[in-house]
Order: sequence, then C-alpha cells, then structure tokens
Amino acid sequence: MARRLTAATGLLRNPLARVLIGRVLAGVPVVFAAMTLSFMLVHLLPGDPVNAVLDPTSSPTPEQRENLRHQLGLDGSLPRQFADYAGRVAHGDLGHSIQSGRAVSTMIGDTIGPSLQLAGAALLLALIASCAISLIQVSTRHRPIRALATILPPASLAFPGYWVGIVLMSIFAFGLGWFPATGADGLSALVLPAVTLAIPATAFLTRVLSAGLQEALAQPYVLIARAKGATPRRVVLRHAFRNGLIPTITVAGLAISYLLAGAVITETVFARPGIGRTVVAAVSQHDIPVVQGFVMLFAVVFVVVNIVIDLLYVVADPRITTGRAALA
Amino acid sequence: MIRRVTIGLALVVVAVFVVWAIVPGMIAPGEPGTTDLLNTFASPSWAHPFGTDDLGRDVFDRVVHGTRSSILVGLGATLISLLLGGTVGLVCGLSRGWLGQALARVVDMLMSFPGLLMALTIISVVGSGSRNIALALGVASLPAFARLVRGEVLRVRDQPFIDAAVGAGVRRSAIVIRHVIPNVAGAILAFAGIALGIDIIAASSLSFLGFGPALPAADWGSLIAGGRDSVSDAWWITFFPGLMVALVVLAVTRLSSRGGAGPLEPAA
Repeated sequence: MARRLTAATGLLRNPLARVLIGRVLAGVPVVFAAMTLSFMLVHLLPGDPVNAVLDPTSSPTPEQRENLRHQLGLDGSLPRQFADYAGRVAHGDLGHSIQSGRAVSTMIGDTIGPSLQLAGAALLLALIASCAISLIQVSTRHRPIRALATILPPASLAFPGYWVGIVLMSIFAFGLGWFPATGADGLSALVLPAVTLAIPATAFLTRVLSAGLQEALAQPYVLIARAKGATPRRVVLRHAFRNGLIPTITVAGLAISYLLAGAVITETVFARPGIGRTVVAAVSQHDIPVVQGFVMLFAVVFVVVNIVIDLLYVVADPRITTGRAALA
Repeated sequence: MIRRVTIGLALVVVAVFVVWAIVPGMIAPGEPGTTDLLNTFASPSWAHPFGTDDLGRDVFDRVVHGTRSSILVGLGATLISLLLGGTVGLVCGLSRGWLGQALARVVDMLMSFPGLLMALTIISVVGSGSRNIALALGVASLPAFARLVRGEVLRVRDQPFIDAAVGAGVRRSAIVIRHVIPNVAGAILAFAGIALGIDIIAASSLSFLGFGPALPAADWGSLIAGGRDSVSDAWWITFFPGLMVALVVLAVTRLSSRGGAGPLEPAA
C-alpha cells in the first residue's frame, strides 16, 4: 500500500505524467458532453424519432414501431434511457446500425483508417505549405510575390472544397493524366484528395504562423541577434521561426477534427473509401445510432489530440509545466 | 485605391446576384429545366455562356435560377445563428451568476465539434431540404456567435458609461437595449458577414452531398453534384456554379471586412 502511494506521488512529480493525468481528466467532461448531446439529439428535435427512421410509405404495424423504439433505446423513462445509453457507451458498445444491423464500433473501425490517412497527409501538406508561405511573406523583398503570398491563402477559403477537388480532378486526372481520379490505390491516388483537403487548412495555419512569425520578429532577441551580425536567414529561421511555430502546434492539432470532417466531403468527391460514405449514408437514411457513434468518435479524437498537443508543449517548452501547475 | 476598386467590384457582384435572385426570369427567360437532346454537352458559347449539360439544359439558366435558394439558405442560417447565438451570448455575458458560467462552458464544448459534423447530425434527424439545411447550419454556428457576443458584452459591460447609466438609475433592460447592444453590434455584424460566406459554402456543400432541395429544383451545390459524373467530358457544368459560390463569398467577405467606416461602428 505504502509503496503504491509513493509510486503514485512519484508519478505526480513527473511533469509529463501530471499533464497527462490532468488532460485525461479534463477530457472526461468533453466526452460526456458529446454523449449527452448525441443522446439529446434524438429527443430535443420535434417529432417522434421512430417516424423519422421508419419509411412513411410502408405503414408500419404497432409492433414494428415498438420493436424499433426498443432497438433505439427509446422505451422507458428519460433518465433511465440516458443511464442505459451511458452504460453501453462506457462499455464501448455504440449500438447497431438500423439499416445494416452491424455494430457501429465495427463500422467506425473498418472505415477510419483511410480517413485518418487522408487527414494526416493533408495536415502534413498544410504544415509544409504554410511554413513555406509565411517564410516567403517575411523574407521576400519582391512586392508582388509578397502580396500574392498574403492574399492567396485567405482568398482560397472562398472556394468550396468539393469544387476545388473536382477542378483539380479535371485538370490533373482527366486533362494531364498525372493522378488517378478516384479510388485509393497507392500513394498517387492520395495526392489529389490530400491537396484538396490541405488548401483550407493551409490558409488557417498560414494566418496563425505568419502572425506568430511577425510577433517573434518584433521581439528584442531578434534585434540582438541582428546586432550580433546574424544573417537575415539565420534570424528568421533560427530565432523567429522556432518561436513563431508554438501557437501553430495548437491550431494544427485543432485542425485534425476539421480535416476529418472535411474528409467526409473530399472522400465523396474522389469516391475514396473512408468514413465519408458511411456518414453520408447514415445521415440520409436517418440511421441515428451510426450518427451518434460518429459524434462520439469526433469527441474522442478531439480529446486525444488535445492530450497529444499538451504533451508536445511540455516536450517543446519546459516553462509550460510550471505555468500550468501554477494555474492548477 | 485598390481597396476602393475591390469594394466597388464586390458591390457590383452582390448587385448582380441580388438581381438574379429576385428576378431570375428577366436574366434567363427560358424554363431552366428545358431539355434539348440535340444539344447536349455543348461547350460555352454566346448562345450558352456556361455551356449545356447531359440533357442539353442551359447551365447559365440553371445557375441563375439556383441563385435564390443558394443565397437564401446561407442568409437564413446566418440569421438563425445571429439571433440564437446572440441571445445565448448576451445571457452569458450579462449573467454574473452560475448560469452565465455554465452556458459559457457548454458553448466552449460545442465549439470543439466541427460545424459540418454538427450540421450533418442535425440533418440526420430533421431530414434534408433547404429549410432544414438553414436550420442545421444556423444551430451549428450558434456557438461561434455566442462566444463572440459574450466576449464583446464582457468588454462593454465594464466600461465607464455603463456604470454611469447604472448610476443615473436607468433600468437594466434599457441599459442592455440602448447601451450594450449598440456597442457590440458593429463587431457582431462584421462577423455575420464572414459567417454568411461560410454558411453559403457550407449550404452548397450539404446540397452537393445530396441533402439539398428535392429535384428538379437545383441550387449551385446540387448543380455541381449533377455535373460531377460528366466532369471528364464537360468541365463547365461543375465549374461555373462553383465559381458563382466563390464570387458571392469573396464579395460578401470583402464588404463585411472593410472595417471602421460603417455607421454602426462605435467611434473608438
């Protein structure tokens, strides 16, 4: 017992472990909120959810209605229903699809791989592109190029992502034949979807990164570095860029949820396997257990990503641990 | 100078789309669904500026007739999130008790969900169609509005002129209506302009995914979805509707971000 206690306090002294424990605990309410939200979803909205699920033309019998009600977990009192739902979710049981009868957790497990691959590739591309663009912004003397690097990223946000995908497809797949238009065979099939998804992410990351860079360049240590005779390249890359990168880590992490959501549309455009097809089909068929399952998935992704970001921070900047401890 | 030119251009673009939305029949007199099977996949020309589609329908006619629903859905969504989010944010910012705190936490949590996912979730229950898309997107961007309004209210609440009004014995409701709301309106309306652009894109995306108005009605998103299968033969069917989305979003965003000069902007 005593040894376990010392082991526990020893764990608490380790800053990394302390942050980890804190963030996992902080994630609990988010996941709980997502669960409550997806539970309430069915109840808050007008009309009987059973009607929304059933095909109105088939004139279901009362027994069919009751069976479905039971299957959806909609019988019993509200608190009872919520407790049942929470208990099932806590055991990793996300219910079964109304349309196919398959377990929702299996459906997610089967489809999430390609989507994570796509979102990851897009994030990587966006990080590289935004670094390049914001470095161009601060280092070029050529005014037209700087103007272009400043105007293009925000302007790209005005173009709908699915349309950009189709345009890229018609140029690079049908016109030039460089990449396949659809499917998921190998790396070349990943290029166009990843670029499509990366464009809006690049715009967001560039905004954060160039603001960070500009702020860092105005700091006294940059002046000192210049005074010491550091070359402009060294000042930007070694001094300003490294510090300007820190806020970008947060935004890049937050971008993952949005990239995964964006993957739903991109996958539809490029007919790629992934969560997209499952989500779109579930939404159009009112397959509520599946939709609820994906809401939970996004909550978990959000929490996990936040934990990873915080750990990255601790690794990147030791000051943060002390600051966080003071706050807590 | 460049600023003036771009604002002028944005005004022209908005004016054109407003005309398309209100009197589409004047710009494109034909029935937008008229098929012409002898003239399918015609590339853009004087007779068909945006070309024709797989059934020989004039893409320009269909784009013009799709303007109204494409823009109205976005406007409806922004209006919903402005009203609901504004109310929630106002309550959050004004309440000094647990209610404001609790609401603020809920809003923060909702912000962690991508809007598209939230909109899809709502559509899965209420069903598809323009009205439901507007509702879903309006609720999805409610947290962003609530958070902004809350921040603005918190900023204004502690200003000396509020203390002065309280000291002068002005009723609480009058302070909110006459002093708080006018002072937060500028920032909120500027944000609403940007949100309108985002909502128009999101609405067209949902329509592209197949949750838009029922056929044969077509907005820009469903036009693009319809032309997707023939994109290798006829790029124009998808290209022009998407370009219209981008143009309207660029124009709206340009007008809403022109900053400081608006009559609603408080002289700071």
